[in-house]
Amino acid sequence: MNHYVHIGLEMHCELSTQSKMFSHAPAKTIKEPNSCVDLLDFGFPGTLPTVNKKAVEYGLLICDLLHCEIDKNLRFDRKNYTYADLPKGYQITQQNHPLGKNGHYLVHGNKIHIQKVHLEEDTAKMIHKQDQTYIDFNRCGYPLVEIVTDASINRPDIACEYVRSLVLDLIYLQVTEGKMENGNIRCDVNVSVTKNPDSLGSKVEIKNINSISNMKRALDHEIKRQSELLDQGIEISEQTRRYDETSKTTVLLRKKETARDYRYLPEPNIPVIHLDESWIRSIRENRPMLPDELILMLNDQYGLSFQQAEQLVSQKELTDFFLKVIKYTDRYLDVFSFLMGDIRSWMKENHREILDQDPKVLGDLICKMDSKLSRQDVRTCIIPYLEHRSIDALIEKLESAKMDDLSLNLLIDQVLKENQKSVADYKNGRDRALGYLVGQVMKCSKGRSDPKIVHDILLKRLEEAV
Amino acid sequence: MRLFEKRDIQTIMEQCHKTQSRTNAIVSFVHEKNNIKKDWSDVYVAVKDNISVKGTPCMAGSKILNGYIPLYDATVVKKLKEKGAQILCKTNMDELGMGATGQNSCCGPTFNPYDVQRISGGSSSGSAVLVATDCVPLALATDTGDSIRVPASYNGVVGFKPTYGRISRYGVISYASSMDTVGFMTTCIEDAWRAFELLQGYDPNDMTSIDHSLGSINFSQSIQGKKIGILKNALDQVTDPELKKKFYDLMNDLRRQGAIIQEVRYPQELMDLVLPVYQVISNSEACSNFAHLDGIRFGLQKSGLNYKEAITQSRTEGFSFPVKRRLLLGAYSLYEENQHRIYQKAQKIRRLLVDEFQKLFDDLEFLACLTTTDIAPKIEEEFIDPSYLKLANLSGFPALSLPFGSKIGCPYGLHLFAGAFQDEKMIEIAYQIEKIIDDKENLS
Repeated sequence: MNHYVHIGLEMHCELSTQSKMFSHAPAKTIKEPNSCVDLLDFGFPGTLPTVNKKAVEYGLLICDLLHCEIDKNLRFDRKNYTYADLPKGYQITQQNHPLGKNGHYLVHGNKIHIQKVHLEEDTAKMIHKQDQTYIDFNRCGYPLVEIVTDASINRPDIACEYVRSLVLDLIYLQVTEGKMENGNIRCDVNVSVTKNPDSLGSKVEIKNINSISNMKRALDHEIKRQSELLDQGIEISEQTRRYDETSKTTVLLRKKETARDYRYLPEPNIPVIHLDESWIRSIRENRPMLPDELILMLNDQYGLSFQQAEQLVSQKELTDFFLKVIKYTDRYLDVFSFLMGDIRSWMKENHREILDQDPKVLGDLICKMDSKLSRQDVRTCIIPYLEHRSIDALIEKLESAKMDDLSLNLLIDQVLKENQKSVADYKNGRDRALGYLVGQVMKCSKGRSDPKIVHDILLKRLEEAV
Repeated sequence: MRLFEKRDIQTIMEQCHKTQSRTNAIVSFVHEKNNIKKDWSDVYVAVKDNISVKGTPCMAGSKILNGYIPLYDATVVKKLKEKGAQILCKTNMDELGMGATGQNSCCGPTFNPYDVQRISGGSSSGSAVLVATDCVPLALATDTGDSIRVPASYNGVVGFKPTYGRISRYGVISYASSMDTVGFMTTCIEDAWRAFELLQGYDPNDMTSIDHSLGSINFSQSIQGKKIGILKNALDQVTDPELKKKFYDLMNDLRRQGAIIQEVRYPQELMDLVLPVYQVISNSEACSNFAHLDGIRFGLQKSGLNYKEAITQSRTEGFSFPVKRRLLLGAYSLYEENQHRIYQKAQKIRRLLVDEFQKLFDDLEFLACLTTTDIAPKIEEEFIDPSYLKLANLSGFPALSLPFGSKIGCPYGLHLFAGAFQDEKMIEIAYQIEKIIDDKENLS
């Protein structure tokens, strides 16, 4: 019998604003615990929330990306509950009037329906150590956007691709750091398997998914688990499960209790804010380029293949740097190959995430390649360049170390004399022999010659000899 | 005493101690001296204990805030300090602003200085008493239902509640955010104007404060042609003919001076809904607003096996029964199964009540009545909450109470309502009425 799978996703995305959603404290989580806090974040009496305009702007960008209908009356609600990580005793969210609703997002031709996009504040972070629990309020009040899909996704790979692609878009919109491993992006997955195509089945929520690969594993496992139960004729109950990384399975967290009553009420400390049409328009007009648009541009203007462009765009830092460097050189493909080669490896090995080196230096360096410097020379310069060391002296040394024309010609004479057979082969029409001879010259010059120049001289000499 | 009237600190302190021993109006003195020398340097101000003054304990009449010391000044306090004013003391109040008698405070009841066997009125009990007993010329207070105007009436002082949003609430412990209004007590209307001039204005820290420019005021503005309505529903509740007569005599005086006086009635079936609607909304907002009073980060801290137990212990001991009752009612009206028929219904009716109230001002400039239906009751007597006063809170419209008369040595006030943002106009006419009342008083 057929099994029907329904997957829905709730994604929480931390916005990379300067300050928190409703307080003036800086929005920085990776800091000394309880150092980024305002009186409001501790829930001190008499404090009042003020709406972070930048967070609303980011929310609007996300709504735009997801083709949502925007509610021009910005309204907030209170979700009341008692928990140690919630100092005010309520969370300010948008229960009744989300910023955006009824949107969609395309993943490989699959249209994913977005139910709503809303703004809210994060709770404090609980840190459990031995038998004690500590609370770090740095995260308390952090701006979040929650993106909720309906349960119409029916394959784990589409769900995963949705997250991967959406997160990349969000990173390019510059609204979030977008790192799942750091908790910038948190996904709760709802999955249900049924035999009846007309019903959604019992919703099972999976929490604690911190990477896309884990999401895939969790979904695969959960679908298998539910399918097996169905085959055995066992009814699936609504529940919350957690993905366990060590066993690569989902484990029961809690059975569905009677739904918690959050006693929602409209936030009385924030009036209804009317979002100005022209402000929304200007945000849309100034939207940064999205990966798909960049791929087209890289292909069209810089001659990268679609595959290359896609490869580059998958890492925003590299793309940004590419666009900076090509202001100083038109050798786009060379810039691309250094970025994807030596530079990317160096970043990986040294756990670097940002490239703040002077792009002009790299641009100029690549300009010299194949004339004043060999490819190998350029590679020699890259590491000190990446380490922010001056490479002027190094370039000068490499340049002067290059063989002058006379010694190069002498060397070529010698190689031609020693490889009569190859010369004869070339004359007999074996073009490959030329490559061999270039290699021999390079070898004898110990890399101090430019292969392109050597190639040109050799060609001339061989043609002359014919 | 009047604003800017010079008096040395010893005299003030003596007066305060005298008042304190009779009325229990003060909960703490502010020790920090303001060294800023400006126009207000000689002015000593009392502050209701739900308004934050940096470094001075702030209990708001509740045991749950025992030991809590604010780390910052409320915007209104900051504004006073910047002008050089001295914050003298914090004043007693009904727990968390809940109550109109001044009798429900963890610091003990506040007694009426005219007759200590009577209630002071609340919740801004201490602030009214300190102005009434000449300790200070100005006391900050808050009004969510009638908390400035009732004690002002019972203590024979001016009590002013501006339009919602004209004075910042930042630093004021929220009770029912959609109705909480910061105002004050003074001894006369002119001082009320001076205080309003300083305290009003948009505050970026309070999104519900309103950017409305301060209007000018003309104290020689005649009452000729002013349209004043007599709120019949309120007068119906006054049983003492002497009070009624005094009110109508005044209205006749106003009429003689050219004012257009007419009796109006707010639909009684709607008036009957004012109190229940007010209760549902204020209790609902309160139960959410006071959720932060959990004893975890500040205030009364009880221990427990886990945080939930600790919170339960702190709240059980920290709140008085009347407060618990209101918080429970608030939570009840917000439960999913009740929301629609209680909380949301109350919100809808609120809109209706306000629309109907607004209609009165389509034709009239002001509404007049007695603030309280009589003088302050004795402590053991029943206090009847004058529900019509809450129309000013449901609507956010400005209102004030000014000293009007007295009976067996105890005062009662005259009440004025005006339309939204008519604060300046209301002060102007109140000034003229105050003059008429004073002249009459001097003649007799």
